[in-house]
Amino acid sequence: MQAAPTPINETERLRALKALSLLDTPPEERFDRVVRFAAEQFDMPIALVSLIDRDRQWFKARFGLDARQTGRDISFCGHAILHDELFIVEDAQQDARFADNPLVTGDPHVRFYAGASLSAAGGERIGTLCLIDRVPRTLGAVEQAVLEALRTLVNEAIHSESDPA
Amino acid sequence: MSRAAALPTVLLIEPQFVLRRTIVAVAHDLRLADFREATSVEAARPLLAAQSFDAIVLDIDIGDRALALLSQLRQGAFASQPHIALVATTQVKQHALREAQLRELEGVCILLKPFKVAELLERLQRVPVRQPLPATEH
Repeated sequence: MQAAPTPINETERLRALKALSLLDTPPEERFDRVVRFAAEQFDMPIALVSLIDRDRQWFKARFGLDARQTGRDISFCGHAILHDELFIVEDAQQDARFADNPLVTGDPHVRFYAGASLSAAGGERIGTLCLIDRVPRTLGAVEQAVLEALRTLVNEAIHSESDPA
Repeated sequence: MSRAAALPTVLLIEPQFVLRRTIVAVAHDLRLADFREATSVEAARPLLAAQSFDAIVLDIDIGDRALALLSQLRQGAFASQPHIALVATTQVKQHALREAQLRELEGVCILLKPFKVAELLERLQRVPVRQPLPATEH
């Protein structure tokens, strides 16, 4: 297994994450409705808004997963925050970075992962909107555009105090 | 010099924030349609009065005024042609009722919620698009 690498701007990234005051806060509808919609739109059993803290990923919004957090070292989202573009693993069992990851070999038995990194106001990538399935998948062009659009909505929710709905 | 194909202009009347914003963003990013958006029938009326559309997508579960609006559109009460494409979205549990209510309106397509964004956009690709006026030669 390849542990999630540490971004070169880790200090600034963690500072930006803390400044948002989202970690360990109660669920909020402005995030929950996006993961519900994502799960429905993609027929995914799991959809999450994940924030990457120093040693853990903590879920601000979650659909289909009971856990509130996991270790950062085994997180797929820790890899996804290294990229601006979508980070897609079509079959984790066939990917040397993840094949023996405990999230793949055990519960929740991740096979497919798609993550869109989320950004603080200064551009620091502080987490992801991600989709998880227990079977191998691909995302077509329209589906990737849907995920990009939902990423934009979550970024807007992160940077807005009020709910536009 | 070739000119890019004209996109269908579509008015989306949809109160659900995430669904509405996602449809509009995806259509824009993939250059599949040129959307205007409204959250209610009341908000849509000024847009319909001011601009001609190739298609209207309307959540008919938002009240009786939605059905009245479709009827007015078919009667040519707004700037659009009376026979433009009309897509009515409705929850599955309302399907039978809505189908009966829409029977008198010619050619209204029903799309059951929840639907995939791709499914709606695929339907809109079949909408006839008004051809833009030819460019003036100098």
